[in-house]
Amino acid sequence: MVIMVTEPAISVRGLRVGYISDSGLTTVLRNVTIDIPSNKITGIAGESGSGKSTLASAIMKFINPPMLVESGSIIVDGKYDVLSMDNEQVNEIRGKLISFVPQAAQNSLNPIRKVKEIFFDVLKSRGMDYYSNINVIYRALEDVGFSDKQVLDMYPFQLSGGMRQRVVIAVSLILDPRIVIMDEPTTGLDVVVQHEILKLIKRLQKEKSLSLLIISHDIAMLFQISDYIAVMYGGQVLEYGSYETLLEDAYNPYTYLLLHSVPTITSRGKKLPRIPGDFEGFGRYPKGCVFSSRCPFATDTCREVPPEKVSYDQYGFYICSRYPEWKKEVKKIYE
Amino acid sequence: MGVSRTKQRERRFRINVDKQSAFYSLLQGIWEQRISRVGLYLLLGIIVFCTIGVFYTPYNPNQTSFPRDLPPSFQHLLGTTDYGQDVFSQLLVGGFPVIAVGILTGLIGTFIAILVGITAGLYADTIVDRILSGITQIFLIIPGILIIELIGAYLGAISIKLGYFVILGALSATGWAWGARVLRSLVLSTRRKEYILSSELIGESKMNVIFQQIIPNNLPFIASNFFFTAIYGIAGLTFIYYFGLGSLTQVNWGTMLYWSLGGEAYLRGLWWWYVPPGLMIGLVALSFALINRGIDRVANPKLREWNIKKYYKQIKENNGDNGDGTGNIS
Amino acid sequence: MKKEYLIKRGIYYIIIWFVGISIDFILPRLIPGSVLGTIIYGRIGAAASAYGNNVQQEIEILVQQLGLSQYYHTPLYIQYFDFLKDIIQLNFGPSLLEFPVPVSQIIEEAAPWTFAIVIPAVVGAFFIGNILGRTAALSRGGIKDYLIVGGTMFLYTFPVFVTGEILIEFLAVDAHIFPLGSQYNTFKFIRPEFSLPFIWSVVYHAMLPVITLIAFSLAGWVMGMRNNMIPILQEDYMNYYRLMGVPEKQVSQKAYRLALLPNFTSFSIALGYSVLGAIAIELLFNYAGLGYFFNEAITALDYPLLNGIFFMLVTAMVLSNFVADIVYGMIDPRTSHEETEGV
Repeated sequence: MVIMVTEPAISVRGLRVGYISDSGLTTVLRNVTIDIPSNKITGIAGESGSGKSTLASAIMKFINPPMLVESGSIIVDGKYDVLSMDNEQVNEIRGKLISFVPQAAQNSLNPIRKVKEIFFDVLKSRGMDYYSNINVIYRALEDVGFSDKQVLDMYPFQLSGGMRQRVVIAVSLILDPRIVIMDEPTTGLDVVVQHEILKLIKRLQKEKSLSLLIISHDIAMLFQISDYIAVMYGGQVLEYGSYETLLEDAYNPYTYLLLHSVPTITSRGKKLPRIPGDFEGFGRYPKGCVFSSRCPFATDTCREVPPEKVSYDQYGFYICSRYPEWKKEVKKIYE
Repeated sequence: MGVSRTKQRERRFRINVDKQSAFYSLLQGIWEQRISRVGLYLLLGIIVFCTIGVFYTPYNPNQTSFPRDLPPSFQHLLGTTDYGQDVFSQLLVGGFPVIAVGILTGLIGTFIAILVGITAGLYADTIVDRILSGITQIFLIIPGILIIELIGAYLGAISIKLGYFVILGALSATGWAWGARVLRSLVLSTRRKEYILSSELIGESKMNVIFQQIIPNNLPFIASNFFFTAIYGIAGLTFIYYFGLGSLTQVNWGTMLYWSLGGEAYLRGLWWWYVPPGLMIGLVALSFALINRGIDRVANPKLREWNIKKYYKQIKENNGDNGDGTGNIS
Repeated sequence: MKKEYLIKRGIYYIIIWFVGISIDFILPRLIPGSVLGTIIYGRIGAAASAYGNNVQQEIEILVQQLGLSQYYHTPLYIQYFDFLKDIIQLNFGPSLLEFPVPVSQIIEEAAPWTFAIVIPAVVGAFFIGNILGRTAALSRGGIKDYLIVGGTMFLYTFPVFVTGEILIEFLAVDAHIFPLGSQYNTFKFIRPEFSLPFIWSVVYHAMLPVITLIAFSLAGWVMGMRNNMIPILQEDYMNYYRLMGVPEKQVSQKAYRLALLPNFTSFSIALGYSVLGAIAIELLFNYAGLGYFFNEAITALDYPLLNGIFFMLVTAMVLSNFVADIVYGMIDPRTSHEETEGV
């Protein structure tokens, strides 16, 4: 049994989410159960189509057709059961308790509003006045590294990708939330800007002691910044734990393969392991382990019987019925 | 045994439909939209009504010997005109040319739009494109119906009234501009997509790119343009007859409106004379417009609506099957 | 950049305008000159004795403008320059129908009446249509959406003059709610002057034509607004507002404002449609605007009048399109920076 040491910031229990289409309902998230720790940076890694963005939307209770929650619960900050709250109640905590930073490459800022008008819109929705809170806005802009206030008078299309990402972070943090979800914070930015944004994120998390949840396909980036990492595949969390554990001793072959398929300076000249095939899609879902069709270590049992979830500390768990046997086979296959 | 044999026979005679083709999926999409299905039924009903009119009318529509200005009765379902004609017979006969001109205008106009739009898009920023786009812009800004009316008025000097074919030609010649402009920009954006670029790079001929990539990709818009132009055709035809520029001895919904206007039916309370042809024209155009809305929703998935309740039911059933609803993680 | 763009558009519209008015030049020259000559001399002949020399002068203008080849042997390009010179001076010659009143005078008197019904109709349809379109977009798939879309579409597809006829028969002839015909009450000794009874009379008489035109043009706005707004409501930047806890009501208000922008460019097209609609219904309402005279001119083969009105309409369309471009450039911050579409 899990022993509660600290209250998790977000607690997801048995979440099943699907999308409807002409051919019926396709379940994407399958019984996702995960706790996101407070005051830490948690990364969710996964390929596109692994369900990580769906999970983020569900946590924000941002559920619009064709998306549909089938079952499960999400508790935010120990007391808010978001899925059973109505829209008004959810609006009350959005931005204030739990906030969302959209991707910079997307057009997440109203194109016909100046930056200050976007601040204005967000403050006004809380009955707050822009001008009496102008110092808060200045501080928020300073926090994300804007020294001059010119940016307030600019339209989103006049900003570069990095500037836009910082503006979005400033807007998202303006109401002083404790929990922040970031969606691909570095995607679409060039490497230098990526590095700056990551530094910024880390600094903000420390200063404001935020509980951060970062969603990305860029596993290398996540390992740079996160305290905890969840690896998602095919709508399930295959492995979750502190980053040291995952880095040194991955329990699931998928994590291992993901980490070792990224070329690094030390891996130069060596043959990199690769993950064969593609995810077969949510339509033809495997009977057993979701990764079995691509896993080089899979046996018939893997393909037929769903693996059990094994928890090893308050947060960490993995699902793989072949641990630790597959560790021994790694050497045979790749070295 | 017997059953399987008939099944085999059925299979042998089944027409081979390419279910992956753009055309098939468009038709399926239109059929699945409730709004366009209503439009299709409506159009079908009107076409049946007009086809009956080609073969059978209760009275001779040209006969002028009935008592004048009779209100609707069992003898004359829609009454009689000021000239002693049976309105219902005229209505039956008068639909076919209107629908035919509308549909043909849609076809020819869309064809010209494809020709001009795709050429301009493929040769973007060359002199060909400038000229074609310029002509398009002129027809966009100066209403075609106005030009047709001016031409019709001048033809009136040499006592020529516009016949069906001239009207069809004039409407097709003026009704293509909007489609051409949108198609040009669609072709431009389609060409920017990588798969077209790569097929151009590996040296596929322009014709192949047009017929295998550009047209199938923009089929929903082309189809919607057809209905849009057909509505223009019907409205234009009505306008031309209303101004008395068409040949007035023909019996169709347009001439019915013209004569009822001349007879000042609307001032004398003879609603049964002008409302039926007006309503029929409106219904034909409405059916086109409804089908068009359906295409819009197929082409633009964001405009679609989802019936959530249906899926909640499905979930409940699924959960019943699985028992506790838990999957692979216990 | 913005200035360059406007100049480019301006040159473009001037070219279109030239092409448009050139139709006026080409068409009469395609008709055998003798035919037009017969018509003109037939009409004016009777009046000729009464007006003396004056008539000869008027006829010369007509001969020049309509290019009656058998009387007029100058080369085509000189004819074209003469034609342009006359048109720029708004000299279209005398009307055949109301000889010897010059066409420009008839247009001068008729045009304000047309604008008096077209402008309120366009403005009214813009407001009502956009609000209905918003309602439809916000309740999409619902009963309100189907009613609004279906209803306005039906009004649009119904021939506009039949709508007018029905309204006249039931609201004016039968119910006496609205007056019948003409621009103001000519029986009650109300003279055209700046007085309250006169203005009220004008407004009262314009109501039914305006309602007819609004009914006809509503669908365009409803469709435009609905189709603009639905994708905008699902845009990332609208979702971002929602994720920041901005209530749906305020989000849809912002989406409405964004969706309104493209509708401003449709304003000119709507103006064009409404002018066409006005041309179709003015005869019904016995409303002496441009459309009324356009109708009369077609029936009576009054070519100078026809050409004059056509010129006015072409000019109005081109101008309104240009104005729409300028307005759009001013209200949307993006246009001045984005690269503009080729044509």
